[in-house]
Amino acid sequence: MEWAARLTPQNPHIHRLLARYYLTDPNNPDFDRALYNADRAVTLSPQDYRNLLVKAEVLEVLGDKLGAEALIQKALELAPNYFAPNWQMANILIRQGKIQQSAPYFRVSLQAHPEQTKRYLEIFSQLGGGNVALMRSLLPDTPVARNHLLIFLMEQKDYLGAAAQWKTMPVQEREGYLGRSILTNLLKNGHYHEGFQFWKELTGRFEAEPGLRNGRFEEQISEDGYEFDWKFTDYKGVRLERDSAPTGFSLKLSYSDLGNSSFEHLTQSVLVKPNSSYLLRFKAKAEKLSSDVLPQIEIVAGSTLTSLPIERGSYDWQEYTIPFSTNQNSLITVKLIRKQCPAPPCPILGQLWLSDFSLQEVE
Amino acid sequence: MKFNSLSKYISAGMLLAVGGGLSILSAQVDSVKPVMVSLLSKGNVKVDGTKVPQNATVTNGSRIVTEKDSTAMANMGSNGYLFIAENSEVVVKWDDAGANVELISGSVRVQKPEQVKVNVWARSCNQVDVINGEVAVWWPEDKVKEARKLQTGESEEYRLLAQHVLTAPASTATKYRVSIIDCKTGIVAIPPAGFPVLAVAAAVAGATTAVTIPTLTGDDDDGPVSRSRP
Repeated sequence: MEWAARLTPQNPHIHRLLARYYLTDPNNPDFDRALYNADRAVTLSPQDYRNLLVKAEVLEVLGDKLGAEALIQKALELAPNYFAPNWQMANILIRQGKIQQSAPYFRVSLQAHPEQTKRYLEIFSQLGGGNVALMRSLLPDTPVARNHLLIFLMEQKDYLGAAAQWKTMPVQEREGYLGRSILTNLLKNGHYHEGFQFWKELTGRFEAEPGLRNGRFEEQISEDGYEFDWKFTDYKGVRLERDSAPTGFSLKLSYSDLGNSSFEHLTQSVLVKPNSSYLLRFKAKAEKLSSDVLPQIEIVAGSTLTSLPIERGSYDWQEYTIPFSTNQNSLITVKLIRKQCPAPPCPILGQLWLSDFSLQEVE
Repeated sequence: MKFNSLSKYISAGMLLAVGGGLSILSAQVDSVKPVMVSLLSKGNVKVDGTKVPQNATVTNGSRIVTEKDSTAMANMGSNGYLFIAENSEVVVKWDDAGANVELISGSVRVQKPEQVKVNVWARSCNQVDVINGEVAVWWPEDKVKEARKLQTGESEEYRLLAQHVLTAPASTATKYRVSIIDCKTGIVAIPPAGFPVLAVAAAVAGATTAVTIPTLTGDDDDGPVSRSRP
């Protein structure tokens, strides 16, 4: 191994390679030889940044971190835009806990090698206690890096952090499915108010106030609706469409299911005051609605369930009122569902119209 | 390097403790326990599934995998140095008491300073070579069996799949190597260059010890950048 160095003793390349060999080889580690060869490489070619970096590695292994940093700094002066010196400086600083100082070097080097971002986000998170702003400062200002950080925060179940990161991203970079996932998880984890604010950001409804929305179905509802809107969750065996109503629009459900299916047609999450009393009002009309188990309106407030079944038969618009109380949670879910019958078959046929949903707090 | 082969068939999957011997490290190691350690590598080395550049940082509990013709050295600061041979897989952990290395495949060489405990838990049949110092082999689930101590130059195989072993604290600096071997033949699966193949294994294989010239090509073939380059 030393033969090449003996044959070409003035070749800095060989000395640099030997230095690294003696530093890392499992069979012949020799830090003294590593330092000797690193010194030779730098002496023979001091303007080659690679020699400086290898000597810096040797010094760091030997415990001279300041000496190592100084050499990496010289390498940076020679090759300021190259990945290797920026990366090595970033790493030696972060290993000493010098997070802020490492930031500019990580920003350069992670732009060249974005595949390292995820692993290093875990390091940044460990060192910085999960501080999202700190993590952001260590990443390059690129779509790839921003997306890496967003996904990382979601994997860490830091949905508040993910929501904050989402808001900093340009609109064209925001993936819809990620936004939906953030909202769902914010609500699942009890961040109701933050979830509502995020929903406003997500949908562009910046002026929206908490409360039951779209009670008269004036706005289109869709399968893709978000939690604070009406959304379809299940339409098997039923056709849903908008129809007219005395005060605007209505939702018309035409049933033709002959099996024994359970449906959860509509849901909407609503921000409410905790430990308060409310009235949910709505109007319904039906034509030949029949089944052993009919749809019902359910209000889920924490672990409390309040429900009102829809009447069978044919009738004109009738008003219904459901009183309920909220618990310590500030989120309820209003649903239109039909549960399974005790035994099949259990067809449901006919038509149902719903409109004028409203929520009122009572004293 | 020659070893006095004491091929005894004792339990595999043991932990090795380190103790005794001369102070052999010429490097000054950090006195501060590491939060993260540096990993200097050659070739294709992955940490937690991601291929890393030749100078990287690893955290507690990282899984390091080296491929063919690839090696790595983890500078564990006050816990010493861990050299990882090619075709190896290890998990490295550390705490206030020292370092724990889980050797899943391949071979590692440990160089540890005084007053530090470095354990190597081999996941399968293995061979231990004490380069300098003393290594203690324990069987924590077998309270009857006493610790076995290996001295400088000693080498021992552990082929029977049995209980793993506790370790004893170290009192002096030590160098030793642990390599996963084939449980039936005792041959190291893919011996690294210059590996001291045991006489028994060599006779069984009918092969002579090969001398492999290590590859010296570097990973960074970019040309030097002068000051004038923007």
